[in-house]
Amino acid sequence: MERPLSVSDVTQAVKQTLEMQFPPMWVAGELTSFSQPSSGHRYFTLSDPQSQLRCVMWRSRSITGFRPTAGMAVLAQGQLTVYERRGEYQFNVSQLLPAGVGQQLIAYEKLKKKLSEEGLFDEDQKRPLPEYPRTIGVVTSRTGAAFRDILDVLERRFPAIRIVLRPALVQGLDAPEDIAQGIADLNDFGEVDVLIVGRGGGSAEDLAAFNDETVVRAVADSEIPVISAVGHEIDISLSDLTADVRAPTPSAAAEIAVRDVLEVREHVGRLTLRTREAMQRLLDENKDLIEMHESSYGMRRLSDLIFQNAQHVDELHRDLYALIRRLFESRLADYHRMTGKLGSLSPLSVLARGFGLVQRKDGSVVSDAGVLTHREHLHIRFAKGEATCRVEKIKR
Amino acid sequence: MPKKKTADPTFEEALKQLETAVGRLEEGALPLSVALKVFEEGLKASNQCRSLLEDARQQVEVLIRDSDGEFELVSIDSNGEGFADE
Repeated sequence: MERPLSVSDVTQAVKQTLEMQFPPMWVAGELTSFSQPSSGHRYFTLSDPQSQLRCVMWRSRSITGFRPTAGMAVLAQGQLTVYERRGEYQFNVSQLLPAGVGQQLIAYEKLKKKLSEEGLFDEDQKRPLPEYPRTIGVVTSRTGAAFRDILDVLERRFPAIRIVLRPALVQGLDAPEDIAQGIADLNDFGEVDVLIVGRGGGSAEDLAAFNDETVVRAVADSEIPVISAVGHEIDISLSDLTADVRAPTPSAAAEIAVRDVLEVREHVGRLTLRTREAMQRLLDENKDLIEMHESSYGMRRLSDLIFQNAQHVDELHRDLYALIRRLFESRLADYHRMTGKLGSLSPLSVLARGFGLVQRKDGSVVSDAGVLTHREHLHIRFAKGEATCRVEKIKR
Repeated sequence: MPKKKTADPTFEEALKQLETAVGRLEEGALPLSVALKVFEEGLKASNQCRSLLEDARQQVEVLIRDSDGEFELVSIDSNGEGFADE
């Protein structure tokens, strides 16, 4: 006879086999004999007409949203195990939900898994948002606070923008179809650079449309980048996971969609300053050439710029000053330093420093003494005024 | 923004032109005549950027698709009128 096994050996073997054979799962049944002694752990039985399943749910697991009572149809998620002291198998429950809610959750998780496997949530599916959208498409309720919030933020941050709303039902049975069609409509419409799809905060059920496969697929299929804006603190909807960018609220979505116009203006201003500084450096580097009038085309362009753009440059200068003053009082000193330098760097100062523009009667700029004829009249343009001179001696 | 004529650059295009001008000028080594041209283009682009930022106002429209699939746009007042009544 073989050596007998101990009771513990058998129980351990059964326990291991059971736990390996049954991964965590959902079980539907009727709740019977629910009890919660002072330890805080819950002991109950799940039943159907044929069988019963003993369950334990530890105190550390919370039951939210309902009070379990006998007779209730529920769904329990957990792991089969063996209670060794009694040699009984039992279901170790991690999550207990009313049947309806549980069905939804199971459907949600199933859909999430399916879409995830299809790659809808993959990071490499995310498209970058346009830096400077001209038109923003919005799919939400026309009367809800969400749209109002979006308009307010856009008006404040970047008023120079066009907003096209495709009104959509955001709750109720028809909502998923309407939202999905709205996304498709704005894609067909074609003049939209970025989409905001969402609604203001609501309960988990209010957000159901954004977990609907139809909506999720419409977000995924959108040619236009999508910012999801489903205002809910806790739950992340499947639309959120699929969208190119997820915003916690409609206001936040609008913030993400556009840059702050003041920053943009400052950016333009700084680029403009840099353009002029770089130009001036080039003029300085080439001043010998200019002095010798060796670049007649350049000189013509230069005089053109000086006389025709001076006013424009001054305007730019003024506007920029006003802008930066408004924006960054604290950076004013910095700015004064910069504008001080610019004054001396203005193209006008090339003439102001004593260079002159020499032209023949026909207006051509002289860069080569070889073209001149004896006693010919030449015009010289100074920073201030001009003079007519006569050629007395030519050195080629 | 009103529907753009093809000749007018968008803000993004104008900004790109300005950035290109800065880049080319800062690189140096351009013949003066070319540099002046680039400089002038940069100023023009800067001016376009500015007017695109300043001139346009928020424009809000509602997209309606009729049963034939044709689109219609209805302007609404961004200050709220025309909102409450569906």
